[in-house]
Amino acid sequence: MRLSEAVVGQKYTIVKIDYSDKNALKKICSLGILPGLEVEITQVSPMIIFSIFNSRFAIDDYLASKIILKNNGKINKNAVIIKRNQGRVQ
Amino acid sequence: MGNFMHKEKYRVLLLGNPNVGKSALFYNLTKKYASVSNYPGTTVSIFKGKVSVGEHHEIEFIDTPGFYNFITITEEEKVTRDIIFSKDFDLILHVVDAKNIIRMLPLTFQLIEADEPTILVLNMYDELEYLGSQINVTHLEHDLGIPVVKTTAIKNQGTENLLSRILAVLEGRYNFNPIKITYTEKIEDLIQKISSMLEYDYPISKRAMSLLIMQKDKDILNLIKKEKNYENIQKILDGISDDLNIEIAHKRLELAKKLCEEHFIKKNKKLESKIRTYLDRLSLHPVSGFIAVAIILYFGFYKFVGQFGAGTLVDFIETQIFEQKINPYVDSFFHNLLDNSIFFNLFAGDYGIITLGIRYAIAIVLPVVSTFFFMFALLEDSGYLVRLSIILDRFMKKIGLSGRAIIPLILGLGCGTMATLVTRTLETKRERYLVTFLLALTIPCSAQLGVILGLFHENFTGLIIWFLTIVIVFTFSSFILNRYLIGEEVSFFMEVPPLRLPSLQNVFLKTFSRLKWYAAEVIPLFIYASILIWIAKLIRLFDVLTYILSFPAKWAGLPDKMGDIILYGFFRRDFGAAGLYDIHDILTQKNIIVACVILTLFVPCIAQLFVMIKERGLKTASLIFLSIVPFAFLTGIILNFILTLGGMK
Repeated sequence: MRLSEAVVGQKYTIVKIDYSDKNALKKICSLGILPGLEVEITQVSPMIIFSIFNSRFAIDDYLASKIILKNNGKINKNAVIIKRNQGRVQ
Repeated sequence: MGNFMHKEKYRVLLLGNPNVGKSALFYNLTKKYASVSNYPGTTVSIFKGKVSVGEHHEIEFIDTPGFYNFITITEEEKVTRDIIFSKDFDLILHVVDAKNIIRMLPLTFQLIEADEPTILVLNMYDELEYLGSQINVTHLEHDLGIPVVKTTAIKNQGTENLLSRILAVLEGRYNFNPIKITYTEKIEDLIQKISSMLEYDYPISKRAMSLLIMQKDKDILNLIKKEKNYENIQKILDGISDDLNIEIAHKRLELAKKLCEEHFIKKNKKLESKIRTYLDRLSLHPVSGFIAVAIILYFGFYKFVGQFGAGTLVDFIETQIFEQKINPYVDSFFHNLLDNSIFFNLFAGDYGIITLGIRYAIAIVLPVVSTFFFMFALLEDSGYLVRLSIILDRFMKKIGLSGRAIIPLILGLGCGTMATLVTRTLETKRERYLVTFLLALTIPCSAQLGVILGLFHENFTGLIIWFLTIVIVFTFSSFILNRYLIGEEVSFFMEVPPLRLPSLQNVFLKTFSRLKWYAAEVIPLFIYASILIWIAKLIRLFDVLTYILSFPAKWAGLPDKMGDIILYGFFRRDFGAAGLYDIHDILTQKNIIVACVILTLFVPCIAQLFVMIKERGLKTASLIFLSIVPFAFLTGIILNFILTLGGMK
């Protein structure tokens, strides 16, 4: 599935970045978004916002459709917008 | 004595992602503030600051534009990479956001791979502590093999320590023992193969060069064109898949993760305040976020910049100071000096360098610019600017713009000249062009608004017709442009910074340094404009132009004198306004509406035209100008026709 179809509160792992659009690929990689990272969706309107480690990112629908995810099956029912430390920092 | 064996002058680069507090650190190190690089465009000019350490050392710090990766995307990144490749420095400070070190270490690895002398600066360390974490800096330093220093630039913490580490490295007292980043066997093989084919010397290590080459970076491939093995390298590249960069990046990220897992210490609970979390959620909510944007645009930009800056302050400086004090003095001074010779008008009189050029720059644009820069710095430092874009993005995309294009557009209601300058904060050329065009064509500046609102006093129908016409032109032209303008479409992907309480000192310093930049870049434009007008008057160009402009005015049902008013308004807004008031008794209601529409659509003033030329280039600016002038009159003519059909007098 794609990031643009993701559900709020759900955790996913990035499996692939669609490289059909070179500019989009560059832009995504430039912010350090790479396969293997775990993301959690915090909101989808007015824009998709997801968090990785200690940062949050806002992404438009087009670029989000270039990020391919796998569902991790962990639903966080009490999802709040600020999600910290899911990088499982020990 | 004693230090003659050392090099006395050093250069140190500050390098890193945007939003990591680089500019604040730069200020701490040099005590000179640089404009913050939150948005591409704001630090395209490079900031440098020298500092003396003891008697024998001088360090020059260079704040580079935001840099993510050696594979560059933005203009700013290219600028920074060129600086790195120039080799004209002794040390790099890689500044990172401590709480996001995992995502930022990959760039550190790239610098290490490239053989650059680097210090890793873990900035914004207080925010990491807020989250209840710590980094074991000593162990991280041991593993990376380069100096690691923690700082909190915004509170000026850790600067001394950083400076002493910088000196240690510069004087060769530090023993670098950089970590080796090992990739998969396939990639290591490629590195071997490619680097053995490179015969020339390059500014970065062959290993780093080979990695960039196999990722097919165009600029790097250009750099190695002269190699006699170039064809063979190309052949190798043909057999490599395009997503190798993901593989490489993934490996770097894995290493970063591993290091962080080892050296992160989670101590206590988060110190995150509830209010901050709540405000954060409000600012991003589709409903309350929208209301917040409306409030901020209305009070922050329309009221504060538009009405206070472009209204109250401008009126005060222009009438109280220039018209009553400076201009009469300058006029009489030059009158005594030059009598009535043609040179009198170069400096004084209605269009002189001082009485028009300097006055415009200081009295009209400066107040708008300072109030705007202040507001902008406040939004930038509080982390709100990104939120504003997030809220408006989907709406603005419909006309090919990104959310942040709202700022120059709103600002245009205050001063179009300033707004055109601010289009630099937009990401793509295409978007900058679109906004520049819309500003020149449709957005009335505060001066025009004043005249228009005055003329429609007690004529509400007229005001509505004027407003609807402008809205229709805005929508129509933006749809058409969006449809047919080529270039990269806007896309939006940004980190959302936490909401922070901005430090007022930083906001003022930033405003001040941007004002200095404004003075250096824009005031000369006003002076050129005065000189140009002086020449045009001398050769009677104005008479020709007013004569030409009187024709389309007549076709739109307006008196001949409209030609004068539009032309003079373009050069001196008060003349245009006054001119329109002077003849408004002989104008019918229909005439006033048509005149206001033409005045709004026409390029507002010569200063804006000059900024357009400066920002977009002579060709593009002329193209915009030459399409707007006939379009303004054409719209006036059509509107006059429709209103006449509708029976309006």
